[in-house]
Amino acid sequence: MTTLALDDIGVRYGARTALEPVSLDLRAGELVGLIGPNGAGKSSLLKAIAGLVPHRGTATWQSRPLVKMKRLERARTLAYLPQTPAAHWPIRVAELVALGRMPHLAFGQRPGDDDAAAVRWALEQCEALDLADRRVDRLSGGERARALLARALAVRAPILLADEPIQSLDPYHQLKIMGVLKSYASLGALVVAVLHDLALAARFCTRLVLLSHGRVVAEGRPEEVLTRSALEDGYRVEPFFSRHEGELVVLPWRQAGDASKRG
Amino acid sequence: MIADRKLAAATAESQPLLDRRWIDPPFARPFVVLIPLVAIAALASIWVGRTSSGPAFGLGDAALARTILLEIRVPRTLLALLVGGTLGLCGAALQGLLRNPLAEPGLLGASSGAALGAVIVFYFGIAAADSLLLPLGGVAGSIGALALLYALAGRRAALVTIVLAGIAINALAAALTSLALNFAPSPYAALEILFWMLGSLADRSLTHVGLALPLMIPGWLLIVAAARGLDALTLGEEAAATLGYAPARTQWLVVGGTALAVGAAVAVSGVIGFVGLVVPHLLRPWTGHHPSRLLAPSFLAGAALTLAADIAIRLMPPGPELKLGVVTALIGAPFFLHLILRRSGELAS
Amino acid sequence: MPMLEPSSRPRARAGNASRGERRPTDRHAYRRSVRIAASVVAAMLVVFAAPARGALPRVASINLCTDQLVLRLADPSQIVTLSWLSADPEESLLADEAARYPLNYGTAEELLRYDPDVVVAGAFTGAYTRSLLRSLGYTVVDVMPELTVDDIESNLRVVARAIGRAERGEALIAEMRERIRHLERTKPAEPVAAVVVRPGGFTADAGSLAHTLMTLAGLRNVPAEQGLDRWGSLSVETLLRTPAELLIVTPYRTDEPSLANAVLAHPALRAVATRKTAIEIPGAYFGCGLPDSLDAVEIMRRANERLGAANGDAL
Repeated sequence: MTTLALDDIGVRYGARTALEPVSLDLRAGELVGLIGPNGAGKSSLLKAIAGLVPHRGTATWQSRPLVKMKRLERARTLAYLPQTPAAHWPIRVAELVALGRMPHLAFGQRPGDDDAAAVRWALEQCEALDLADRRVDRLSGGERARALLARALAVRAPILLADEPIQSLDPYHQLKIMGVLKSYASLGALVVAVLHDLALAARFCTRLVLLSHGRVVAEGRPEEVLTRSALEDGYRVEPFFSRHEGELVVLPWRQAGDASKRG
Repeated sequence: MIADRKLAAATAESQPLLDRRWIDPPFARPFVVLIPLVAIAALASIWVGRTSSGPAFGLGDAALARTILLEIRVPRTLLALLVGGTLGLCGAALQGLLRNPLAEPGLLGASSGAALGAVIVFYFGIAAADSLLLPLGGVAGSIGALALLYALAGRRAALVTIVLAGIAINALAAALTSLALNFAPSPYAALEILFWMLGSLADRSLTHVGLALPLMIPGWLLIVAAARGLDALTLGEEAAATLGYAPARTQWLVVGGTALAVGAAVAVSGVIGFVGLVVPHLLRPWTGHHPSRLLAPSFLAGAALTLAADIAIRLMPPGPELKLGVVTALIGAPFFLHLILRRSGELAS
Repeated sequence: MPMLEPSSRPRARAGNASRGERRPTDRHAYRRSVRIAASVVAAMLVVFAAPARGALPRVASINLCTDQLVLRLADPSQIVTLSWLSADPEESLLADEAARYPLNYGTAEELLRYDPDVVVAGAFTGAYTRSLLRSLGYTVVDVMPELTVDDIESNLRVVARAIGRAERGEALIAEMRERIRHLERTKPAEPVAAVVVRPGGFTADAGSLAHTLMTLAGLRNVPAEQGLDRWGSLSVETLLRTPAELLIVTPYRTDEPSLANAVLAHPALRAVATRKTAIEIPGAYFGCGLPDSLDAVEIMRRANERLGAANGDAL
């Protein structure tokens, strides 16, 4: 089984330790949700795997440490969708998504037909094909989120890291994006996403990692992780559990330790 | 790549493979116009001269023609091409790096730093006008200015910070140049420096082409190497890094290339501004907004613009020759103002 | 026999036929002695003869000061072109004379077309132009600005030699020296304190031509004594406090508005001018050093004498 093995990944920003050494094995084909309160170290973990911040420990993919790969090889292995994705120039969406094909192009090589096919496939996955000829600066929030996710998909990397990909999207687009991430994982990729929405994390993720204060508090399938005690300790909220159409529904119901609101 | 078979299956369900031009429009069209334009401008520059009674067309009488052509017209034309091209190229690269259309080597202090370096080398007797130390001095000054810019503004600075840092560096370079002028050997030397700094290509020789080229060419190559990285920066620094084009690498390539090429150019011609600002702007609607697509066309258009300005100078009524830097400023400054006014809303964000 | 040839230039010279050499082919002593005699005569003719083609070089000047030196030293037939400043009466003492010649703006292409034999330039005239002209094979003579009488003398000599008028140069120098000796003999006993006010608030620092001329006129340059900075600028306040009796004002383009002239129009300055004796000397006298600069000395000397007479009455 193809595995992303994280050994003692720790992140410090100056004197502050954002993430205590974490060791995890994440397998391909999974949609892994990193959940936890603000400042728990979720983004730091993601950025450490992506190589965007200095960190200790190693991340190894198919027995090869990521840092030892050449930069384009690493870029083909790992795609990253930042928390506040940017598009600085008003270019066409198709060309924006095509930027995701860069890791596959040697110096001076122009994109080929297979790159066009990958772009088209990525846009189709995100149901954004109709946006292809629109200018990126003229899109709505939801449209832009889909376009930028398509860019990350176009890399067709076996690892996709997404930092809060559904933040500030309406419910329709939140469901859509989570669906895209799930189907990408089902194609055999490892998708790791930082999420705040417990309900969506419970429904779509195949695996959850709950972080709090820079440490892994719980890790496993959603039912295993989203227990009352874990959520009260980790998030300091009392959850509400239910089932609908056979799927687990988890909602943060009230702040933990606030007995006065019990009805 | 994730399981190709699964992906291939998924793709086959969608429509047949599309032509790559859908994601990568052809970029030859600007060259079809720009290359002939530069050629025509260069020929005009070789054809037009200037005598005591004003413009002169042609090469004069037969005995002088060869000398006028090879020693006067050709060096001037070549330098206009090289210096103008360098300024256009570096302007496009800096705008791509800073993700903003208001950047150019002059605004960021590279040109005034280079001028200071050249002034110190030449006018204080460290080297003669024909020495290689002169463009090296220009490069040293340019590197110093850009290093200071990054020290002041930092790597992740907002545009406003960078522009303000550029203003500070221009002010500092101007102050140091004034200080240097104060220590000039005589008022006449000081006047000569002042006029030199206004920027001119008059009476340059092939020697100067030979001095500038060895530093310009590596500068251009560094910038070309950064082209893809500039495109990647469209997505922001983090995404660019994960696409294999770390922002630091792109940054050093562009800054280093600009320091070399602009440093050498200014050392030979004095300060010629606004070419790097105006040219990418005029071209963007035509070439598209990808920074990499702007590079080569900006070189050509910068060369054409500089040649045109230099020819205009020679066409003026009889009198002392106007300075090239003055003409480009007359064109560029109103353009810059118009840009700021048009984008004032975007600048605020 | 080898003929004396003018210095040849490899590239730029327009259509000059090359002179051949004839090798000695003598077999008889008689022929040989005739030839030797003929060559001696020819040599003397070339060195001492009246202007023939090649004897007096064609001269171009591209600097205001060297223009005026050339006008004073050269034979009119030699002068090919002078710089445009020399015909401007605000800049040049010899504007009327200069206006008779073609004027240039100091670029290499112009000079190529004039095709001179010698180019006379200032040491600070465009370095690019001078080096390009040299690389084209022209003889370019660089002349430093004149600050003292010795400078004027050495520049006269250098330029005269370069244009083949060494004699005339020596004659002018002798005239100038004589005139200076006369001025020295008739110098008043007490030097009068004076200050020069130039546009922009500049005055004459100790190393300047104006200082030299003032000293010859028997004036004390007060600001120089007080240790001016290198550039010799003087604020109006300093001027008011300077204990000088004579104010020398050099107007320059007074019919054109300029910040520099605004200083001269300062009310405080005008008040000072009425308390001290003020004289005007055209700025062109302080720009370039020529034998004609001594005219300024005489103007200052007369003012000096009037002041001395007035002081004498007052005592």
